[in-house]
Parts: sequence; C-alpha cells; structure tokens
Amino acid sequence: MLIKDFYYVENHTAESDGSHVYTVKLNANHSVYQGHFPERHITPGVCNIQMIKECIEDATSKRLTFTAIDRCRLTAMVTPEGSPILNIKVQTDPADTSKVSATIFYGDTTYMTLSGIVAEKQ
Amino acid sequence: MAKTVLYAGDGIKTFIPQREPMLMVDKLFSVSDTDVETGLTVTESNIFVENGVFAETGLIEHIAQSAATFAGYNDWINHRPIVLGYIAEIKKFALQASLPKVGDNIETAMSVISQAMNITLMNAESKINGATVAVCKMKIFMDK
Repeated sequence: MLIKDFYYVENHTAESDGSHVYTVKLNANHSVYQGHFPERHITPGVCNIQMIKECIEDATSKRLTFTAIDRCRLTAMVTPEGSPILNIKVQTDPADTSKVSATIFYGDTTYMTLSGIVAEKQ
Repeated sequence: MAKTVLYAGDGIKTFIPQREPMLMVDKLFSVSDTDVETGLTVTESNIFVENGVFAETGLIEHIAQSAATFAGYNDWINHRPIVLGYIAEIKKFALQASLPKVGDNIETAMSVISQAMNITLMNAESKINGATVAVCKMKIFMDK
C-alpha cells in the first residue's frame, strides 16, 4: 500500500466472470484529510485510482504502474464519513491482461469508472 | 536557463485549498486566462513516493492541482473567492517516460480546451528536463 493505512480490505471475492470485488473501509483519521481539505474531508480522486491499482495488484499478484488511463470518470464524491465502505470491482481483459477496467460502487451509487493499461514495475 | 518563478512554496496556498500532505504544486511559473505553467520538486517525504519513485497517481494529482492553481489564480486576480475544485474526468492519460524520482523537477503546462458553467476541460503535458513524462486531458469541476 503506497499510502499506509489509507484503507483496510474487509472482503475479497473472485467472481465467476473473472472479475474481483474488494470491499474496503476508508480510514477517516488518515493525515491525507488534513490537507484534502482542512475544512471538508473529501477522498482525493487519485486515491480512488490508487486503491483500484492496489486491488488489481492483489488480484494479479503483480506490482503495477498505470501507463495509460483511457478514461476515468468520477461520478460521485467519496468522503470517509459519507461513504466509508466501498466496493472496488476490477477486471483484466482475458485477451490482453495489460488492459484493465474498474468500478467503485456501493449500493446504487457508482463513484468511479476507469479503463486503462497497466505494466509490471521494473 | 532557469525559469522565472512567480510564486513558490507557501505562496501557492493563496490559490489552492489543498494543504500538506496533499499539496502537489510548489511553483507557479506563468499564468493567464487560458494557460498555466506549474512545477513540483519531488521530495523523499512526498506521500506518493515509494522507494524513491513518484507514483503516477501523484503525477495525476499534481496535474489536477495545476488546474486548480490556474482556476484559483484567476479567481484571486478577479477578487472572487477561491473554491474547491475536483477532478470530474481524466482522459487519454499516457505515461511517456519512467516515473519521476526524488529530486526531479516536474514542470507542467496546461491550457484550456473548453469552459462551460463550472466545468473546465484542460490539456496537460508534464516534463522533466524538457522531456515529456506524461500527457492527459482533465475535466475539473469547480464547486461554486
């Protein structure tokens, strides 16, 4: 985990379609929120991307870098108080495992969708 | 030749609401109503640094805060309050070189592609020593 104790993985399921769903709990006391923002705690969008990457790393047992992000949409605001539990669904393309897609959701709310390309760290 | 710096370090805090440990812009080189040039020197203590390497997510945050610096400066110069801005969308991010390392000076140039209501779409290119490290397009939502 790049940013230590930013979140905790509560559950992990490998689905029959090859995707993996991680349930994570955000750490509302993390120092990131002292700076983002002092008067209003909002989970930085890039921290959502980082969590997605770390879930893909866990699912594939590889250390990865996003070399491309074709599209990443932030469709709802994540806050550690308002949305402390998140599901992160990650999938790699069976035909080309460098192609990945991910969704962060909880209940009926989708927080982020992402499609990109990963490469193994040197 | 070193670039002229308009604002550096704490001076950036006039324009953006982010604070340590999430402050990812430490220099403002130039700014207009359509363009901005910012910088960040990668330090060992940066929260996005692991084993001396600056993660791509840190680089994306640096680009997002460069857009926020652009918006914040233009609000400040026009006597408007500085508002919170969020990434709404990242498109066509491409890493074109190795990730930045501790000690590297990242310089980012951004320009407005379109602006409508509270959404600004900008083009971004980040360089180290004149070589492109990453490009992307970023849509920023300003919470006005």
